Amino acid sequence: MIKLVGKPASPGYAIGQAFLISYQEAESAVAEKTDLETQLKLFESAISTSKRQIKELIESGNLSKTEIDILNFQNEVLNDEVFIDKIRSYIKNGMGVENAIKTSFNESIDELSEAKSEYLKERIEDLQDLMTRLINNITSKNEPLNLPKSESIIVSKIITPSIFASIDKEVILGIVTEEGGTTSHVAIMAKERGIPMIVGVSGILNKIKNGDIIVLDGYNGEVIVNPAEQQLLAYKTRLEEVRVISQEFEKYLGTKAYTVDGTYIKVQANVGNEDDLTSAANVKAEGIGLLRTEFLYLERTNAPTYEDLSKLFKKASESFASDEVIVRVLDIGGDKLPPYINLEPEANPFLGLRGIRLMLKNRELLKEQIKAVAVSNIKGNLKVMLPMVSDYDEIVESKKVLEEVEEELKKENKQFIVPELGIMIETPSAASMADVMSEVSDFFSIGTNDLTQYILAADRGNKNVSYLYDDLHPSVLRAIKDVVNKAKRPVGVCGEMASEPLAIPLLIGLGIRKLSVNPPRVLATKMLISKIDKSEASELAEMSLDMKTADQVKQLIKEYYEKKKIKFI
Amino acid sequence: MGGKNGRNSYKFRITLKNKLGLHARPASIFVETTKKFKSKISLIKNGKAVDAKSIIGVLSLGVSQGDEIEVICEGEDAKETTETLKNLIERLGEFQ
Repeated sequence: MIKLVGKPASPGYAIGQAFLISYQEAESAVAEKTDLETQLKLFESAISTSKRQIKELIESGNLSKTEIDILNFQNEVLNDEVFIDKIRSYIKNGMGVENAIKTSFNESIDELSEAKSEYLKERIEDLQDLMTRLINNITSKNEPLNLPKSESIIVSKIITPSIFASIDKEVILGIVTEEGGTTSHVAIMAKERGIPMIVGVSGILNKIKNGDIIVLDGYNGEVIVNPAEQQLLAYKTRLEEVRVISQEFEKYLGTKAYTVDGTYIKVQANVGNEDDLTSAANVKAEGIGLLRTEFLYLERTNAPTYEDLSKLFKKASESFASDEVIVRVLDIGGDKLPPYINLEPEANPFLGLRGIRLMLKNRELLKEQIKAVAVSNIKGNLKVMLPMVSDYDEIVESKKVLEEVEEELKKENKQFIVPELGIMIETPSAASMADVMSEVSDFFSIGTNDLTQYILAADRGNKNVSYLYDDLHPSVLRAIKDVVNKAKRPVGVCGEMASEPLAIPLLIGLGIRKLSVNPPRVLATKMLISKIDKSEASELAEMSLDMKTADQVKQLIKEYYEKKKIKFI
Repeated sequence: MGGKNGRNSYKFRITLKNKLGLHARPASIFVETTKKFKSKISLIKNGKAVDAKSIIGVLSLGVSQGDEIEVICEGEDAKETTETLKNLIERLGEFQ
């Protein structure tokens, strides 16, 4: 039995037999043995074979949009005559066909790695994938890649988007690779399909052979090879536990979640588009704690009209007629803008003109949104929530817009109900001034993702400092406690923290009684709440507030769960 | 405007206003369009020139929102090419 460790790239557990996919390294045998003319012919043939393979993959109908976009880009490169001619000229200069390909590709890859844009850097992976495909088509003479036919755990040096696209997804139980990153295209595609994946396991190809029994823990990044009988049993039990726990979810459908000692915690859903809304209704979430509106605004050339908005809001209002539906005002900024909103380039978009600040400078857009909510508010359950509030005056100004909307709708003789107005608490200033904000807000929802970033002053997307981002950090817990203490209005949490098993006891212990989570997490969250004792949770919260680091807090909660034998996913 | 060897040469400078600049889909559309013309088309940013019919070339130039570029077209359909491309770049925001 060997235990190997890598980086978890896609969550889940898997147990199965290893299937090694060999990533063919090109040998230069071809270059030495053939003349220039043959090499050029081999190259042309490899290009047309590659184009054909890509076309077949795209037309297979099994691919997701992400996979298709990647392959389309690769096709464009194959049709880039300037680039392909460069390779031809390298071949004519005697470089050898594989070297010519590698050199040209690497030159372009080097240029792209200097780029500031994330999009360009991502294309590097696609170019490497294409380079491999071309070289394989030269050296392996159209031999198909050795692919698994029965359920297996795939083990490889690296899985490229092309290889992933070619494997029958039904047979992939899990993936382990020696190289690759957790944010690579394949990691994203594995996550989309719910396939557990671990990357960065050094030396894995020397340690695993075909047919070895593998246990893959995509949550912790552990790979167990040929576990002893007892261990295998333990892992199979865990796998079964996970399966059973997910089945247990059904019990919680349509129920209210109470802690062991009888405290009711409301569980709502976060939705970002129409599909989410349907999912939320299917799992009978107790309302929508966060209705994100960005999808209605981005990827269009002009702003949605108030009819466009009303259509969605009415649907949401009716689907959750007996619960609240909280519509968040458009929350965008310099990092992601639609073409019809103008903004000067900013050095620090996350500290810049975004959220309510941007909306107050685009008052007509703000007014249109609030108007749409008011006329859609047939059941009286729609509410408006302002994002990124950092100052009292922002709320006062927004309430003026609400009054103007009321005036206009009265004049137009339209039916409407004035919605409640609340705010996201996601800036440190709003968090510490919940008492003052209570004077002009009807409710609060803590956006723990951004709040955590601002409190710890770390960008979770920056790999050099992402280790600092942790919503279990005592500083974040202290801020939440501050909000709960000072707020004179209902406080909910709609950030990722609301669905994190390690955080839920703390939120309950700190006094939060409303959690809004992604639809797939609604039932799991209710189930976990029903296993927690509120008075114990309060003790845990008190202890956590005095801890020094997020790791200490995590350790405390893990020990609690172990002691109480609480299982969760 | 006459050019070298008596060939037609037209050019223009423009600043990219759309959010994505010449990345992603806008780049693909730009290159797809340039390939339709006979003229030789050069795309220049900060003194570096690439062939505008090459997706790799265009991407490697790293043209972002706010960058100024120059487009030079040489060939029998140079005038038509510059007009079409200028128009396209101005409308790139629609393709995001």
